[in-house]
Amino acid sequence: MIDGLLLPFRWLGATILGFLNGLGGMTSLAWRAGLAAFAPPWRLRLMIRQMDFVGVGSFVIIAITGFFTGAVFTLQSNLAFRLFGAEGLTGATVALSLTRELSPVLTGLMVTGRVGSAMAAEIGTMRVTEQIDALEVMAVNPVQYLVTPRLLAAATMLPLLTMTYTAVGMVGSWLVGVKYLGIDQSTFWSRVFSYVDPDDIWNGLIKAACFGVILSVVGCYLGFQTRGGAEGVGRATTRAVVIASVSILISDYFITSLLEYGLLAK
Amino acid sequence: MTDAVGGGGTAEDPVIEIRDLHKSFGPHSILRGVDLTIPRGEVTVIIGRSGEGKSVLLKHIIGLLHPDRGEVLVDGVSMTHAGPRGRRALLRRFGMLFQNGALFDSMTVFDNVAFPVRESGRGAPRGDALRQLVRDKLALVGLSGVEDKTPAELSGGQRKRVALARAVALEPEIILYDEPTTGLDPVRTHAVDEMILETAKTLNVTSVVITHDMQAVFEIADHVAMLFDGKVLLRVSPEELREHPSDVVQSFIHGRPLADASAGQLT
Repeated sequence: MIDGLLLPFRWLGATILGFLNGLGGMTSLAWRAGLAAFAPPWRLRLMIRQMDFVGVGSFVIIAITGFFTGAVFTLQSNLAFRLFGAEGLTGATVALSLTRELSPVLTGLMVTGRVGSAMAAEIGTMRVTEQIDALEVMAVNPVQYLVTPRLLAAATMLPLLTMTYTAVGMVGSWLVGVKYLGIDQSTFWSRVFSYVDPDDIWNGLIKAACFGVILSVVGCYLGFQTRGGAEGVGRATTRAVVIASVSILISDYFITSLLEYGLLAK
Repeated sequence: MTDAVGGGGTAEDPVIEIRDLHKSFGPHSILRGVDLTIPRGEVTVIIGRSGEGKSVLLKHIIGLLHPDRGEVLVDGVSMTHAGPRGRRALLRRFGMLFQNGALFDSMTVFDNVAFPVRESGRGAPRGDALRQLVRDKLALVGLSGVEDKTPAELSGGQRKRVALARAVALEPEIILYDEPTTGLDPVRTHAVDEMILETAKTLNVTSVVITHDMQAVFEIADHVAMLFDGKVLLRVSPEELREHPSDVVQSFIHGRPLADASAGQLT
């Protein structure tokens, strides 16, 4: 009887503890991986391989999704602007949305699906097949060997992919807006350049770097925590994608408010 | 087989001393006060039922797990309380063969065997010297011409051999074997046992082997330690083990279920 009444509280407690435990573990992993970047041995080759995997490997899907995001956003906003005859603002609206919000967030989510999952699966497999133990036994720091290159690669490649996303997105927007919907070419571009600030671009890139840190740390952390063979690896992979995606969307709000409104401003 | 020294009273030169080791995982207490000494230059085999904590014990010896209580000393230096640098120095003296090899599957056989050498820091052999070293180590375990293959292209037995070549690449003084023959057929099992003996002799190393395989115990062991109920039940020579009067020991040797489950005492 009493046990039954306590059940929801027990569940709530366990959930909160689990959440805090995971958050603490991830923060500590990110900290250790960051520190390890400043200590020898320098694992340049591993980092370049990860940059290739994260950056070059994601280029095509980022370009395709970027193109269609720009294109469809142009269609939608043009519909709205036509209501009060301001079609000329379409390009600027698309450009602002892409640089500030859509490019970093959607790039983060796409790369999470492709790379965050792979990190969890690869490190998780290494965990359950004792390859991580083997590293430790050979006096190699697994965090420095596995996490640091992934963290640095994701934090540097995500901003570059975000720029790609925006650039290709603007091509999509131009094709649909100017070539298909007939917006005047010079109005389209002059509005883009007069409304988009360097600050808008910077904010987007800072966000992207943060999302890179989030998706790599979540992927690596869940990989390290993997238990229980192939099934465990599958579970870790799924959880990595879910947790990283949700974290990206939640942190997006807080990073935006911090960047736009400062620390304490209302 | 090298001449077996009795486990008991003979003066011996311990390289590893395990003192009062306790370890629990959540509510499950696995090790409950393990005391064991591993003599230098000989083969010690640890037996015990599945889930008895043999692998856990091995991981404590090499510092992969931290005990709740007790400690592991290597030549008098605590592995348990060593700082990062001290631990690194101790680890240099060890090689470990993991249950399924634990080869890095993103690397070729060559890179796997070369890995500990490259990671050993400045002054490590490079280029041709490294290539020769890898070839030598692979020859030691009876393999050649597999350098460019990936672990996935090898059979289970070959993987174990490559893993052993990697474990001995830095010529360790102590090699730990975690169930080296599990999952192999009888012929390969015998070959791996031979390989362990051969390695022990040619490199003059201290070997600690965990196994379920009683055949191996009588083939390779100088000393046998039996884990039971989270403690070392006995440490004897293989001959003494065979003749041991305890029910627990006899039922384990002959694969019979224990009549009285509570019979943990030596009688």
